[in-house]
Amino acid sequence: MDRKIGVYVCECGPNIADALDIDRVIEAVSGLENVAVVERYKLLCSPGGKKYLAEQIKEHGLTHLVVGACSPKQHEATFMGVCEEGRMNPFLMQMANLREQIAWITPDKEKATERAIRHMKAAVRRVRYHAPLEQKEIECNADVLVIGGGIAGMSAALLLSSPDRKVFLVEKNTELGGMVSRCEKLFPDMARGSEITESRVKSLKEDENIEVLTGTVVENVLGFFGNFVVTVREKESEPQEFKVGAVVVATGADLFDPSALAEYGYGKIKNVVTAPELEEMNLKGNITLENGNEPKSVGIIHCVGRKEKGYCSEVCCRVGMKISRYLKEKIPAVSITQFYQDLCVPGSGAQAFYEKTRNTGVEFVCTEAVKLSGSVEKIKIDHDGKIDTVDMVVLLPAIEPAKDTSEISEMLGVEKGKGGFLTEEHEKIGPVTTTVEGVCLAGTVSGPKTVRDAVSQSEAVAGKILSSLVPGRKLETEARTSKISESLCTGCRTCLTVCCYSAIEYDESRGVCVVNEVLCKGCGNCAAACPSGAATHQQFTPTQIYREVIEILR
Amino acid sequence: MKEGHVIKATEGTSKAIAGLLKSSLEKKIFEAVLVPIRTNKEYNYVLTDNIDLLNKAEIMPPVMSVQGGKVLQALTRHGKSRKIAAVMRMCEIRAAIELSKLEQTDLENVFFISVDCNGVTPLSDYLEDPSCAGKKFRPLCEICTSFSVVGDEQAQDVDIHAATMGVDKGQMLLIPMSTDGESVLEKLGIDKKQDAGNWVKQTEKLQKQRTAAREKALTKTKETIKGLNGLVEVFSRCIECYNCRSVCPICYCRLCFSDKETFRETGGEYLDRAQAQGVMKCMDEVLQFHLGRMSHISLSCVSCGMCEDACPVDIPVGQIFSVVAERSQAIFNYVPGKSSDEAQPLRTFELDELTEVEDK
Repeated sequence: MDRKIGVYVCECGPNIADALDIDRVIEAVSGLENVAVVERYKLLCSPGGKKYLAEQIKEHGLTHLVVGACSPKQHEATFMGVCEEGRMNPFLMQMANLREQIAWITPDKEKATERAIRHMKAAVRRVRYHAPLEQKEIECNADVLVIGGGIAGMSAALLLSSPDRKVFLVEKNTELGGMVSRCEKLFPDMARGSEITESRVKSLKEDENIEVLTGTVVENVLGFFGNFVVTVREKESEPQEFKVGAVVVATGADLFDPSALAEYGYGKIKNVVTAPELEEMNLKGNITLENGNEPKSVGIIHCVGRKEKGYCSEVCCRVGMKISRYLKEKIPAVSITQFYQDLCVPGSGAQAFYEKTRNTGVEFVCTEAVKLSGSVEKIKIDHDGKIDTVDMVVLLPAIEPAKDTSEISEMLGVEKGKGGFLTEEHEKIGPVTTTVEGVCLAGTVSGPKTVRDAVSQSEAVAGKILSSLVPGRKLETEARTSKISESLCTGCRTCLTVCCYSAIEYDESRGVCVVNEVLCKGCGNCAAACPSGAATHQQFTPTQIYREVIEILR
Repeated sequence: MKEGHVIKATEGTSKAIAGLLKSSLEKKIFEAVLVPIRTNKEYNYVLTDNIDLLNKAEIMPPVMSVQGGKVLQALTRHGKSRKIAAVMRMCEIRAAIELSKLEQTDLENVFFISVDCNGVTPLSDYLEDPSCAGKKFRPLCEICTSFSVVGDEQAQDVDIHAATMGVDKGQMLLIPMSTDGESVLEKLGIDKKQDAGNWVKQTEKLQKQRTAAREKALTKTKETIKGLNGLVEVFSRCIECYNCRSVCPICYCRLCFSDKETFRETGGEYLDRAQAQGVMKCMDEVLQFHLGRMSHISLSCVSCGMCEDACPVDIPVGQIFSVVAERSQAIFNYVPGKSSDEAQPLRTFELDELTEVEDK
């Protein structure tokens, strides 16, 4: 087939037109091989521009299109739409970014023009080697699996359930509620933890679109976004299988075990307890020493395990304040000292909470290192060489990944990151999604969080899933995927190690690797890593890159 | 200090090792052995359990027409072997290990016996005058530093090393390099131990000499390929026979990238290019082929010299590749074929490498 390439330069108002000499750019690309027409236009993304471009494609019978305009991030989808309008495969279009990469950053008009010529030539040379790609659609299941019945999992399940969407909530413990339900009080409003969880447990049980499976573990999750197959098992019984379209991981976190650090004497010195143990005492109604008396003085020690873990657990400072608040309430005469390294009290309400706590007579002592020792019914706190003596010590241990996080990471293919927590797709702009499409994270499974942040994440996760997985609607798969040539593949399996989407499988019988086109997101890792050139990205083939680079560097 | 198990070698290295292999076959320690044997003037690797055939074994053949790494690739790429022993030179074992990292060999059931290597004679010289065998060596053999199992480059996957350098005439020292190696020696009843100090001294001395010679020789080669012009000049007599590629044990692709039409353009495009530049060399793919191959294999190159031996127009391609290989391997502190547990640098990453990129 003879190629007919149409080249269009957008003036982008004055943005491009003033910064470079468009006529010279047009002149430079006009004579190039296969170029049929070169034109300029005021604003190609305007309704008039789009209509003009679609008509041009039909009028000249163009086979390929080059648009010199803004960043593809802004308008690639727009111009791909125009191609469809003009009955041209949208993947036969290439943009040259004349605005962000040239006009806006090159003050010298002469230089800008030269650069624009290079970029336009590169796009023209590249587009010749574009092949039409096909956009595929697949059926999907809109049901959702939520792993973990804590505050995050429950909140997500409640938001996700609807008459046409079933939610499976799987909790390994026999009771729902998680860590929050075990807190007597929560900061900053000092509400009961169970108040929040109980109402949710009740709504869950009443919701006929939610199937709550307690005492059950998820044994396996296979498949991909829109089509996962889940296997769960309730203790000794037979495994149960069902299909879902998305997975919410809300498996929470654990607390660091202070007995690993000798300086705190936890488990050895009497009346040294952890925050959850104190919560339990409080929940039962009595905060007492081992001899049954009420403590007259309490030391609260922050940052237990922070150095070992290598991160701040974010909530412990506020937990320490909360504890001192209810200690004061229950035992007004008690004297409380908090030993901290750095105070971390973020949030609009937290500062006021801190000040209020201080006003109740709680002491805050900044110290580098703390060492505890027992002495007849008392505990000596050596802080930077100074000694305090108290009746009781409360440790605030760091939050660490739950024990089964590794298993979940392996089962779902979601990487573990800093501190061993599961990693989100992007720290800032993808905080609840993961590199495995359809698997979202909510709550402390991705790191220490307040209840409020955990619930916000659940709501974000619900939003993501509700908007992308609509009952009855098909899913569009990525067209610009990778392919592995069977005749070139040596079966070295390098690609398997770099694929973030578990989209490549090794075919034992043929001795080659194969890309699952539904799972592939077209990141190109395999194409870059393949030592024998068998894996190629369909829109970044070696030929295309080579032509483009040659012109840019010329 | 290392110790070896001493055996008699009054009839030479080959006979001594052949004897060892014979009894290990008789005792059913291995199902077969992979060794080079002599047929008239030629040498071939054979896989055999025939004890009589081992009389023809030539453990250190004077020439290397096929690289042992490639032999093991052919034997195990489509599924592993049953228990066999392979007698090879260090560069062959190292190539086999590099290939295992790319799933091209499966060495699980391969028991490696290495021997101190003096180097091999270039094929063309040997064919012209067979009497130069053992006198004339491949240029890369003359500056080879991993001819034995001493120093940092020693391959960790060798099971038994047969030491000959610095060992009394009529004797050979078998040095167990793995627990497998120890148990085989035990099963064979070879238990007379002897201090290997002399061998260590001798090999370390040679390695020191070779290291210095290597640096000197490669520096000289580096001068000849300086800049683009140097490279163009050196490779301009390349006839594109691709012999270097087909004999290279590390070049394992089923279809070479350079055989594809990636670099070919239309007549019009070539003209566009010639006009834009004023002139265009026809064709410039030759250099791209060599540079491409260099970038593909340089981290795994074991400096065996096969490529140079196979070049019909005497391009010192092995020495050129070694210059580049040495430097790229140094960047990653990587010794190809040293250990099968060590991942190839480009197949793995360290977290600080990512920071380094981000910070720049």
